[in-house]
Amino acid sequence: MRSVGGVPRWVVVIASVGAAFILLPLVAIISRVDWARFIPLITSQESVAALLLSLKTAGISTLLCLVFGVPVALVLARSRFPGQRVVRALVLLPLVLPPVVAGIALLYTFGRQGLLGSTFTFLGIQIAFSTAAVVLAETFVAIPFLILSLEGALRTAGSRYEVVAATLGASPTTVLWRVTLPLIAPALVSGAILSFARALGEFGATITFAGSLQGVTQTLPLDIYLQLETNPDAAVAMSLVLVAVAIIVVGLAHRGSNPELFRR
Amino acid sequence: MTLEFAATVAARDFDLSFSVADGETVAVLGPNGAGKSTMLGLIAGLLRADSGRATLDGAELFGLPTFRRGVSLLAQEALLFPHLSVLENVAFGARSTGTRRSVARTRARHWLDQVDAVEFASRRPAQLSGGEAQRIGIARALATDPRLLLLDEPMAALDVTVVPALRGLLKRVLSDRTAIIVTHDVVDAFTLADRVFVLDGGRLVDSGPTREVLEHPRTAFAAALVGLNLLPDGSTVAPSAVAVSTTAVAGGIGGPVDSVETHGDLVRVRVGDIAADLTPSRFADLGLAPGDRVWLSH
Repeated sequence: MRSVGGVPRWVVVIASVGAAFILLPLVAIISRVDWARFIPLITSQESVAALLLSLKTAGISTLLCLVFGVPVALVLARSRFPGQRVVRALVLLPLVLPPVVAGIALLYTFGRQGLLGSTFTFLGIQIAFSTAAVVLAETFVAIPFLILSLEGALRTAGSRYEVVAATLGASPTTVLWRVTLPLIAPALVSGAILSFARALGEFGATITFAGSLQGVTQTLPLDIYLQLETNPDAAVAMSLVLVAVAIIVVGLAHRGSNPELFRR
Repeated sequence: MTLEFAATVAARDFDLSFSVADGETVAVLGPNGAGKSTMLGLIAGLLRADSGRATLDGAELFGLPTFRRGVSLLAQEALLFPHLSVLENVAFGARSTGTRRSVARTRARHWLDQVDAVEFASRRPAQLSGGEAQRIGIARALATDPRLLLLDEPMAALDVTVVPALRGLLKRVLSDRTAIIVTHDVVDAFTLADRVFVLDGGRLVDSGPTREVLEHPRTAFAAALVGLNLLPDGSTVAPSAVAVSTTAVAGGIGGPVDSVETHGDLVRVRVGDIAADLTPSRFADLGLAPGDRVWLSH
């Protein structure tokens, strides 16, 4: 067999099947959309409430991912301590954990009967089955994306610029804000976008830990799942909205990782 | 600013003590692994000494974090911050210690002027050549008004054509500064340094005024740097003055030929630490090859 650009032709054939496997379901969704009723379907009160709740909770959980994920990545990449490899493995656990298991774990941490439940009950805060629970579930599953992306970028960047900055009189905090974070800005952006996307698509942990209460915990994926039984046209229309969001996210993340700044 | 330094690092077999006088520039020479980088790292606070003490103008150094030491380090690569313009790079030190932006920028322009690089002010580091970047690096280091300036082979990574101009610039800015420059280039030592330290195996093996150390070398390394052989009796001789014989010579040094290489229009024969330069015809007459036993005399 002849080759195409150095790749054997049979590999190209298998690759085409693989690509079709990914693309066909998207075509299937688009072909099932009831275009005549598309706008009314995605602007129904229930759908809009779900979409707004999704955007709000995914946005807040992305912020939480940044606030807690950046320090975790810094500590993992820049310091050495006993048990570091174990900590790194555990921090990335939500990546491979089935989301429903994550939901159960969160339930037994923050739920009324949970590890910290009595503390929150004492403070008069009820987390499980609230919007806060949605945010926690999304943060839990999304934060490893940010940590992974940042830790890799920090290791690649190395600490040479940070050393130079210190010899110029910059304190560690100044170095962090003025050198380290700007240098990894592309990874920061793409990591945050990936976290946002993961949070937006969260289903298993959310329905287990937060339930599905319209306007409170019923995010768009939950809404789509429930509508599939009663109103499949609405489910398909809302799915297309999520597909569009996903394509935008992939585009942004791709651009974020190729910044003009570092091009020679 | 006077530097007093004494430190040991057991893991690196490093045990060194010396002092550098106010306004003095010292060149540090030595083979790879001699401890030059360890010395710079200890002074800058990038490494920790097992024991010892260092003071800069009487103030303790070893207890302080890097950013409080007032010691600037210029490395082989300029390492300009890629996300900042040239001007912001030079202003970085002042901005980091709380100077107002406008003041820091004015001061940065002054230092860019000192290194003849004002025209690069608004450029990004990626748009500079290696020599230009290193000039900015010098301006950035000097702009913090360091009490001590460390230079770690600042010209080793540069194109040879830009080295003389940069050396001239360093000579100008180092004239009244306390500085330590690690170099492999004997021209740097002669041009820039008041004194020379020769390091080997983590120890100071020779030191003194530049010309004294380099014109009368007491170590094989320093002798080789200035193109001389150090003989066992402590005297030095140029390779061109060494005679080579294939028969035993009274008072000569015998040994196998280690290497033969063309050196300009001469052939350089190495026997142990000693080099001898022969004319091609003399070399052909002797018919030497590596491993042949020869006697050297002068």
